[in-house]
Amino acid sequence: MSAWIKAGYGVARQRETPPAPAAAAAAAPAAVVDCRGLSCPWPSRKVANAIGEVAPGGVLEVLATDPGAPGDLKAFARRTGHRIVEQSQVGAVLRILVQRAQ
Amino acid sequence: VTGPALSAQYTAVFGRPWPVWAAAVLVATINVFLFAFDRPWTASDGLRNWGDWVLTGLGLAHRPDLVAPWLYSGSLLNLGVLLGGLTAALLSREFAIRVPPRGELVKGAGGGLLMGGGAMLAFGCNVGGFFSAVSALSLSGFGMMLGLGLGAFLGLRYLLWEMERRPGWSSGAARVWGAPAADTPSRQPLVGLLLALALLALPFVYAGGGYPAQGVFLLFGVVFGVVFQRSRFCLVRAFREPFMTGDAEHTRAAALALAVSMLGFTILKFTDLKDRGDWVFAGAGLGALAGGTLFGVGMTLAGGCGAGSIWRAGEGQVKLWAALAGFALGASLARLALVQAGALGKLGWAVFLPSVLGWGGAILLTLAVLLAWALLATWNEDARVVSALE
Repeated sequence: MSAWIKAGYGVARQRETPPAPAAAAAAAPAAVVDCRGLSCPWPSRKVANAIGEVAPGGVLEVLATDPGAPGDLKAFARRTGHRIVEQSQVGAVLRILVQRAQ
Repeated sequence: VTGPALSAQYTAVFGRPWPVWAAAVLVATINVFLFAFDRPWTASDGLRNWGDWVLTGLGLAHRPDLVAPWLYSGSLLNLGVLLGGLTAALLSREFAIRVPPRGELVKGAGGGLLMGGGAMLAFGCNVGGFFSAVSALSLSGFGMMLGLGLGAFLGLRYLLWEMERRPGWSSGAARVWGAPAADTPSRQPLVGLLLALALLALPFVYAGGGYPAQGVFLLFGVVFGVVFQRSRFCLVRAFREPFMTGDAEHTRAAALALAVSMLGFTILKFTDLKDRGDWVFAGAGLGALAGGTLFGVGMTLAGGCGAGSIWRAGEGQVKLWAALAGFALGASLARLALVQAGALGKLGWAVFLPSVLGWGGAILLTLAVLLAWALLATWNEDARVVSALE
């Protein structure tokens, strides 16, 4: 995915912060799905595509700006057995961690 | 009332999404109120009004009978949905101008054009030609339902192909403006509150100017917009999701909304409070099927239907701004072409189901179709016969 042009949401800074060591083992994302700027149905569509590349139990980090993305991903997880393990927001950017089913 | 209690209530309404089934019942009920007041809900005739207005202003079309957008009921409903979506997004701190990658803007505009053209063939978009038409027991609504399902399937096939073969068309530089900052309290709820007060005052302004009904149409639209933005209840999802993840929550909600709305419309017609021919369109046949299919493809590409494009545009999604522009232009041009070709009367038959099946038969048939739709989609959730998960 090419450059993301934006002003001051601190996403890049936030991603550089090293995560707490205890949580790191469980939640260190294996890959990032960047859906910033995209609307429905891309977030759940792209996660469905990318989760196959992650090992069972591995975590995908999803970045999205569509307010509908968390609900879409919850519905996706409900149907597939994958898990939403974390959700946070910095400015307009939602960060959702999806763990692949074992 | 204490501060924390008030804050908890605010969070319940504007911090969390509303339950989809509750939104479905609300939307259906408000649609019945709107029909009782004057006319059912529709989005495409208001969008065509905007397209006609622009084309007339540019001197490209001649419509001496054109009602100005700020006075036309369909246009005011749409404006209300737009402003309602904006108000709810602000109150929920979810407003931001989201500019997608360029490929998405092209799909938005193209999907909009298809929706505009399809809506003219089917005598309405998925709201007027399907939701309100089925509620009015018009056979054309069921024809459009078939078309919408086929169109959603075809549109999704295209999106899957695009993701596989042309990943660049849905990725690339995007921008976001005006989102709440990460570290300071957002001013969005305050702006939203002021906007809500202004919207409540507008009907009084309209009434003072001698147009009491017009302000009420606007308010109906605002309520639709708020309910949709807070619940994200979506007819595109109702048709598309069974073919995608398989999730049927919105399909069941749509069936529930149609059942409630149909019963309300039928009471109004049976008691002769409303004319039996209201919202029964001469589109049962090729018009509803072809129009529904075009519309179904278009709404899947755009990521929003007649209603969804409008409230999503209100919460700042620029892809849906492109969809609305395409929709308005497509509707205007398609209608002009249909009138020029003299094809308006050849799109199908106007069939009011009770005149064929009796009142009881028409109600039972409609409920059976809706129940079958919801049950099949629910069964598919686990069976995944038609879903394309990977």
